[in-house]
Amino acid sequence: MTHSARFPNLTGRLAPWLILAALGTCSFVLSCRLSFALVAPGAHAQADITVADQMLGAARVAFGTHFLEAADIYYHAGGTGRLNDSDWPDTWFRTLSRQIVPREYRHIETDSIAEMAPMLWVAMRADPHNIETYLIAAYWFATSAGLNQPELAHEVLREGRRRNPLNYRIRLEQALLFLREGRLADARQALDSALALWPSQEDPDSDQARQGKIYALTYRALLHESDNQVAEAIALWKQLAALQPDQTDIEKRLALLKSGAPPPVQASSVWQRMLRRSDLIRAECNHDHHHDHHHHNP
Amino acid sequence: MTKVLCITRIVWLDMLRRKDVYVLLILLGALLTALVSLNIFGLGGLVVYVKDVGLLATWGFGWILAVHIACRCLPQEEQRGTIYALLAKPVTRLQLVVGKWLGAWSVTCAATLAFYALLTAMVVFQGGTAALDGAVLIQGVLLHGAVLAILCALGLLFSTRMHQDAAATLTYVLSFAAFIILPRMPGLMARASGWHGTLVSIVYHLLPHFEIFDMRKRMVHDWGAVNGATFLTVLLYGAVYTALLLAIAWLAFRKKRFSRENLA
Repeated sequence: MTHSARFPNLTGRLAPWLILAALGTCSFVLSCRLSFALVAPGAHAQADITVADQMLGAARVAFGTHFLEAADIYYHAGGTGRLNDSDWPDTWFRTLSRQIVPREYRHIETDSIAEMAPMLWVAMRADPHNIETYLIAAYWFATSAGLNQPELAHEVLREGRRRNPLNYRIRLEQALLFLREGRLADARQALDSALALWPSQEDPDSDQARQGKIYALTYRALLHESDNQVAEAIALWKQLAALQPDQTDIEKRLALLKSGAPPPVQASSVWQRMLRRSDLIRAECNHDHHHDHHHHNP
Repeated sequence: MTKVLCITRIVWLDMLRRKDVYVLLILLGALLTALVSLNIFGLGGLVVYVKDVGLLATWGFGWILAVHIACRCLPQEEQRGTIYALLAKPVTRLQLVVGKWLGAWSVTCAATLAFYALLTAMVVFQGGTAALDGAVLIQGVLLHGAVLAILCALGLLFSTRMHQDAAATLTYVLSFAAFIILPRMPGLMARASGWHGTLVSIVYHLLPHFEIFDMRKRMVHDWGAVNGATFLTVLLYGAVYTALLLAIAWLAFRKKRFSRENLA
């Protein structure tokens, strides 16, 4: 007995659905492929573009962003209130909904920070070229009292570097982590690498790129000072003075270094203070001030 | 009441004969096992994401089951021709509609309870003490039951005048829109004016508001129980809405004429 005799209508019934499914898959892949160039124009310059990247493209970027936002929602214990609905008419249903679904912002306990990890984990896999995800994950793993897993933070940044070898922000974050741990040789190497890679795919005139360069130059200048490499430190402080002409502290430090006098505050104390301030700024929740959607990142 | 319960029993027997609930239960079990077995960054004891994804799956499976069962009850009787035997008995059409709805709702609720039991077991297994809070869980399950009641009534209403597939599609589309689009409609109401604004307002108040039954965020992030008055108000809304849909279903069904051409 032949196959078609045993299953008389199977081929005939399934064929249109199979064709439809194949066409649907093709159109989905093509639309993702075409829109990828618009959503993430620099992504193709990255070293390793996987088959999944090529096929799913923009959908992966959207998934990555979604799960990064989900991590933020977890950090706020589910608080999802948005003020863009404040001018909407207040109906009976909205009043009830506000009582049922929590909208207030409440930060989770430090020992629950790990609960954000699954969302960050999925976000990294969904969009491996979103640098924010690695930076946020590494920051929380390294600094959260409840987690205190600097080795995990290193692992996340190594993974980020492997997927985005030309990005300076990951190297800068690694340098900050090394500085926190007192691994100065590694910090020097990471900062040199960050400065060599700057601005990666960013617009060099953007605030983020400028801030990144200022951070990298400042930490590197301070490390040169601590190594008694005055000429190199002066060269970097000059670059910083050019980037921030309104900062009188830079000019003062430059003058002191040129005169050969010891600076009033040791370089190591300055970077320790900078690291603490940076942690405070990053942990600060913009919801408290602006009631706006915001990720916990510099 | 006995007649209604007899019809309910028929729905239960039919459901037990089919394997829909078992399949969904196995699917949920597989999903939760996969979630629990994930070793995320080597951090153990993570429960929030298991609760979150598990509750989403529980709501999704409950929704599929409610629409599927409710939309099948009446058209199936008609297709098989058993509707004639059923109506020949001393059973009113109101009793038939209520019995079918009660059967669909109770089966769906029982299956959903099994989903919740499985999820709670998995969360306890994963997190030990950090399980689902008892009071919030009870409130959440009861409000979920109210949503299923509305969904079953809606499916049954459409199936009184449509084929099973058409009724299911319409119920899926309407309930999905009610869940996703309806909470955002006040934004449209704020911008719309004149007759357009009135139309949007009517649609907004007419469609079922499932978002007020959704306690998943409270359960996932341990926000505690809702106050009693709010909880009872939402339950009452669910009960009134279900009763209204059943009344319309009865009105649509009571004068319906059956044709032998529809027999399978």
